[in-house]
Amino acid sequence: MIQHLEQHLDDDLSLPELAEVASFSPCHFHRVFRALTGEGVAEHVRRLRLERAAARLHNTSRSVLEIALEAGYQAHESFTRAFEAAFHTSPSHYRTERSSVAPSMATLGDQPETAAHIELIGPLSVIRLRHVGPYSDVGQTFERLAAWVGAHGLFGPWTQGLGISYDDPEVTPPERLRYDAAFTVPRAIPGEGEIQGLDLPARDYATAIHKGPYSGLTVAYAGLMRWCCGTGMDRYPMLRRWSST
Amino acid sequence: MKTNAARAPIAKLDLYQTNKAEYATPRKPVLLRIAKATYLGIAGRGTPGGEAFQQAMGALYSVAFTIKMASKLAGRDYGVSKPEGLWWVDSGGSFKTEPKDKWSWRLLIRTPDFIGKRELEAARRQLAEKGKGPLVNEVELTTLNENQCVQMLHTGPYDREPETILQMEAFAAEQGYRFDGLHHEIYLSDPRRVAPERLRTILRIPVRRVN
Repeated sequence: MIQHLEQHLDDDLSLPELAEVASFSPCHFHRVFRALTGEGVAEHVRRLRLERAAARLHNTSRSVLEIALEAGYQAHESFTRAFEAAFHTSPSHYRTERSSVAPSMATLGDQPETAAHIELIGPLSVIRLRHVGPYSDVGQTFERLAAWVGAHGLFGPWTQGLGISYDDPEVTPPERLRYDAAFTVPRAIPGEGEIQGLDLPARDYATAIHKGPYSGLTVAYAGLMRWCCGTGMDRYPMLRRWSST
Repeated sequence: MKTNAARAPIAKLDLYQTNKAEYATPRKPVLLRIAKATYLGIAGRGTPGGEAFQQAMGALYSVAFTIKMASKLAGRDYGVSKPEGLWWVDSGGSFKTEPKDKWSWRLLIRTPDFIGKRELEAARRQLAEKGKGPLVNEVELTTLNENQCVQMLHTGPYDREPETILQMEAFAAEQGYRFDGLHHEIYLSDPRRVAPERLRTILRIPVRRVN
């Protein structure tokens, strides 16, 4: 259900519709949702849309109005108000503040393998386990998933460990960061409970290889985002961070 | 269980980089000295790619990845190496005379030296907790001390290996050596994904001086 919400963030999501997808009554659904996530449904949707807008302000040069409309606001003013309430700074100020500290692609290193390029990846089947919270705690999630995958004999020469992160850690507060620990599997697998299969269609990804300590990843990733925007990609890519095993 | 945040993770160990020379893929046979190395392995008998073989490979990978994940969490990540195999024929016959279902093998995955019995037993416990079959208990830590070897890249179907082996044998003889050890293969290609003509396999056979 959470996945449905994430994929349909731009649609007019209404509580009754969402509840139907989850096969609950709207009232019950709202209670369950809040119990699981700590947020009401509307609150969750609003926050995700605003955070995505913040990331776009930070990473693209599109107009504030365009970003506001994409975030579901009818006008510049209402968006600015909501944005200021969440981030304590105006959208344009947020943009200028962030841009001045963003690293350029040049810091990624001079080895040819690290150069950014577009790569077609997929289709891929993965098995994943959702983690919400600071990235430093992701290890335990991987361990639980690995135990399940190992027990089901799904490790093999095809195996790649992946981390899929859905939020920009510069925008989203740490306790709300969403991340899937994942392993590639040889064919689509149904999963069990919180461990879910996920099929990723073939699509273009901006890709760069980062070699070195994990501590350098944030800088490398920011550099890649800049490159994306520099190439004039007009569709803001879904934020996914892959780290492979 | 908290992740060990106090110790910053070292950059991931790549055994192929640290032991580059040993994974050379020469198109003509070469003589190499292969240092002592640790492997996870499981022995068995039967047709390559057959039922028993695949089950064993599955158990080997389950253990290899479970150990790797635990090591990664403890701050020492490394890449799981490509599969390898040692091959022999028990009866005293040869690969030429014995049918494939009588071939013996030990499937191997090279593992860093810092992985020991403790890590193996922890992995077994973890897999047992999840109801994994008894086969994982047959995966053992092995040390190979191959020393002087002849090594060559074989391209193409496995069935054409005899031609490559003949070349290796001739080369060894020229250098004053003869075969003395188990046939060892390193599977660079996944036969499920790669067409037989494009398979790349390293063949390695220990040798010793002819007196």
